[in-house]
Amino acid sequence: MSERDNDIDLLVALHLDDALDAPSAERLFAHLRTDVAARRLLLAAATQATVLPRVALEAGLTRPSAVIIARSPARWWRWSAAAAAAAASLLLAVGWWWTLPSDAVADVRLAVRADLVVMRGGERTAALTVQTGDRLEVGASGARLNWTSEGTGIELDDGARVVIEQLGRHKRLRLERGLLTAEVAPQGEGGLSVITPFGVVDVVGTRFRVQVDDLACAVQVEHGAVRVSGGQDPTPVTVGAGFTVRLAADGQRSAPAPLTLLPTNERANGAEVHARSAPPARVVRLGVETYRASDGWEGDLVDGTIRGRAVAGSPVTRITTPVHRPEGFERFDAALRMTIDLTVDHPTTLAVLLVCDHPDGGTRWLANVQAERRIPAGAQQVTFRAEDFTLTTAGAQPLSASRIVAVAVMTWLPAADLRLRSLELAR
Amino acid sequence: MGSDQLMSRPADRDEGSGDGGGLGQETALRCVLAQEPLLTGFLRAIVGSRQVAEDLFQDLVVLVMRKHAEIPNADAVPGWTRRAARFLALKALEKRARERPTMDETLVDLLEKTWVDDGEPAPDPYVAALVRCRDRLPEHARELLTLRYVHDLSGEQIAAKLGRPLNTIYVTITRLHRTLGECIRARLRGGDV
Repeated sequence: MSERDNDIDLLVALHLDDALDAPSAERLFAHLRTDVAARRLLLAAATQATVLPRVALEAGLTRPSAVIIARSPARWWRWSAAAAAAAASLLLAVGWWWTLPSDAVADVRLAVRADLVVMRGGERTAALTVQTGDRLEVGASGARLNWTSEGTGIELDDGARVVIEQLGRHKRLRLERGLLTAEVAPQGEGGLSVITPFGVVDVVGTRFRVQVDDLACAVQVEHGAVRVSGGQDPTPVTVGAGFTVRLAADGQRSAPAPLTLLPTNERANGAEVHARSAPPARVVRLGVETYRASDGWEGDLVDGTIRGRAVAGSPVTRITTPVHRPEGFERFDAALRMTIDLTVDHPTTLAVLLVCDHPDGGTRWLANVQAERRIPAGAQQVTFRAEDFTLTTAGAQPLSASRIVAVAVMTWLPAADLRLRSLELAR
Repeated sequence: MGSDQLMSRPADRDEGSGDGGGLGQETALRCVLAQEPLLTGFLRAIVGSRQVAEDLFQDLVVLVMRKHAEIPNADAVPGWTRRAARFLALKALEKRARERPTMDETLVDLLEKTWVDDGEPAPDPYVAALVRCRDRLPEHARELLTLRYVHDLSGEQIAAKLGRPLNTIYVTITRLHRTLGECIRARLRGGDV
């Protein structure tokens, strides 16, 4: 092997380990641009890296005879001949299930870590699987529970204390303290419940986090949905993807709020939702009274309303406000309420998209959030709240109190005549 | 604001059942899932990170579920999904470029072209060939690949565990990929290595 080949081999492995620094990346990219063999090698290595874990599962190489050491929470992907059945659950959760022969009720494999303590019957035990009644005290390396027959996994962070209350079709874990991250396959008739000192999280198939400390429990849902009960209000609340709820020691339960409102470190740590005080209340009204063609509206003033324009090459009719930088029209936070006064000629789906910029202003686009609702034909007022909005753009998340610099109101065919009278942002 | 930033179809569309032309949702999904290992591998070659590649495949599936009616027939699925995967990967690279060096669009296009020119293998024969070729590797080689890709240990963790230099671990792993690649190609061509 030449020096060049050695360098390529090293760089390809670094790339697939997500461990390239800037100089190494430039070297790798230079090789790839000029050397088709290097490109073939990278493609081959990446594909093999993707397939090898799957074929290992098929061969049962992760069964209890092998020690499973998981480095970090894994996104679990399975595919099966029942792919069509998975489609129905995909919109709610990444719910793939693996058609391995199922083991007995308690097929929970435990990732063995040097500093994990498993208490069984009051005594410390070295265990590769867990049983009902086991108590786990998690050390610095964390721990992982894998339900191999269904593809559910739970990661426990340093300092977590968990009691296995029930296994089988319906699983119950008591999280006494610490952070739990779960990737849960669709549970069908069964379920997974995480019991905390402040309330219960019932899972139907999702990825979520639960953090418990002395004062509160915070639940953050990344995919799918969970049902949370506890606090003074006996009615369970459903927490959807991209939202968080907090149960406090005084019995207060927060309303579900967008995860996007939290700075990254607060999201990761499951901290309190309302970390920043809301800006002073005000009402911003856009529409016929503020319309000026020269301002850059997408839409035309017709018969005392703003009429939407068809978007070329698509079934969408759209009205867009001018882009308003750097101060924006209003801040996006949990208290935001948007009311739209409009008319449509046909039942349709109404979508409202908010283009958000950084809270400190400037001209850097941050992200879009969108809310949707089926509406009937005719004149009407439609109100959206902050929790109705979800991110439509991958990557950067709107920070708490980001600025709304533009609004788009859209309807889809067969509705073709969208008329806006006003759009109000308030809290 | 570009128009692509303002176009987002609602998730509850009941159009695109395939009745008006194009693939039905279920058929499109089945086709995409059948290609999953190869598509995710392509995405991983671009972004490097396993987790990001798997997230992108998830995004791709959601895209297929929304836009399946745009795919004329099953034969068009590989090309459509490859282009969609490329689009999603470029978007991801754009975001990641703020934190780390990433490929540019020209390089991604080169990778895609190489993948197409070499002929995208059918997933099932590929997986079968990989299994056979893996089983022919010496035990220590299989163990190294298991530590890296099954147990998902980083190169650093493996080097520490085995008491070997980090660069040696990385180079050895890629050499094993070369060996597997040659074996797989031979098997798919019909030869017996």
